[in-house]
Amino acid sequence: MAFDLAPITFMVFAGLTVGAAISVLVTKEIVRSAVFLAFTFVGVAITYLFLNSEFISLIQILVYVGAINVLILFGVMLTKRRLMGGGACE
Amino acid sequence: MNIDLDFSTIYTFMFSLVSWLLWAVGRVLGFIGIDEGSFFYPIKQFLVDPQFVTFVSYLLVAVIYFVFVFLFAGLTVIWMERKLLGRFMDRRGTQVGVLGLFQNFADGIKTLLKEIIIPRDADQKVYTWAVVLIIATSAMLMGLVPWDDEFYAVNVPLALLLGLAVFSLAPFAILIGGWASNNKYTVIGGMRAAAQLIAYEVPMLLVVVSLVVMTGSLNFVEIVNWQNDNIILLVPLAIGALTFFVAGIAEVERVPFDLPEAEAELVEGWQTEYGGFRWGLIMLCDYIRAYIVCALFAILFLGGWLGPEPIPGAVWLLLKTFFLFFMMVWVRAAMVRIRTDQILKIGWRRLLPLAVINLVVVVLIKVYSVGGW
Repeated sequence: MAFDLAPITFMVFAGLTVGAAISVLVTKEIVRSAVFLAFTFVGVAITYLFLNSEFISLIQILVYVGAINVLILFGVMLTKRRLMGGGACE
Repeated sequence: MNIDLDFSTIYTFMFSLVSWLLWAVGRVLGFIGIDEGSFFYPIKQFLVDPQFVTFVSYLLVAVIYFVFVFLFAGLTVIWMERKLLGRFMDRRGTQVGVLGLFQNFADGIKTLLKEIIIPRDADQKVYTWAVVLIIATSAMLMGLVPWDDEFYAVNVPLALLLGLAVFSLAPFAILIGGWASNNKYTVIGGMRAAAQLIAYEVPMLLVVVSLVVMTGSLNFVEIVNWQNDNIILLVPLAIGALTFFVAGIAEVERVPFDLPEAEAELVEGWQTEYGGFRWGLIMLCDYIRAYIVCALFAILFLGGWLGPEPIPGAVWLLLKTFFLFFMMVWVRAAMVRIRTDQILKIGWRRLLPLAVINLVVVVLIKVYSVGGW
């Protein structure tokens, strides 16, 4: 009674990745978009894992989630006129 | 996915235990009357499937690791810091229970009993998930550290890189957590902490590059075997070891680089709005990360589980780890907290050149050395 889980898991993770990528676009709150972007990058890293290239998936996490995403968040937070839903924060 | 997980002793033991347990469950089911021809017979077949048994044994190993992390590593390290700081300050430290061993449990119960307060305008989902991310990454790092060449949870070929990749998720979680509290000062604190963590990851990664040049592997077990064959890496990589230690202290946010959570002048930095058990878990994860950095240093530079015979290897690794944590506490007792511009200056202008010099030295050793290097 052996069942092959690989296609099912791949479809689940690919669906999550695509869903996170769509959420980046439709989310109103821009910092949440950055969070969903991080999920997208992790999903891409998992896709690399399914392609048997562990090294590039780890580098994807290290560079994109650990550095690029933090850079984007820095940019967002340094230029944001108001915090979430509140008044202007000058 | 062709990831070959080799079975260490812990897995074989758990596998036999779980198969015995599930066999007993099958016996019980047969006793109730679920047997050939019954409607529920596929369930019984599923229980003794080797894949399912393997899955359950993995789950149990994960649970064992989790309990070990939180009870052994975290609490021991916190207790060590309290008692040692007390001794450094010429007092006795905590004295709750026997030698102060019950103090951590008392603190844990206290944080559990606190009311859970979420700020009214906070982003509730992100506010919660930032803590989950920090805890998950810390526990995942814990599973990577082997104790012995045949006693580990996972032994992937790229273990060191995986550890650093998981480590680099911390600034993201900190920024998110600081932003979700909906407070100007937590946002600023989160940005300060993330700048520090990113600045100090660069020298750490460069030191790891030099280590890979020396040993030709990213796997902990192979690195320690290389040290067993040649020499412990502290000798050729002395500059790199110093850099790694300083950068590691900065990565886990301990004094002298304590600015992200300065209790006295900046009120806890990015975790100001976190209260109750969330705050307790964040603090526990800080100490777990400190333990992990000490264990990594012991494996990479001090030969891990190598040592004279009568003491087993895992005990050697723990002894070296706790000695390194003692050094960290010593640094904490001796130093003061430094300003944020000094933190960035030390990271970019001192440690980065040191790491590059270390890389050059390692390449020269590799090229010009004669014999067994």
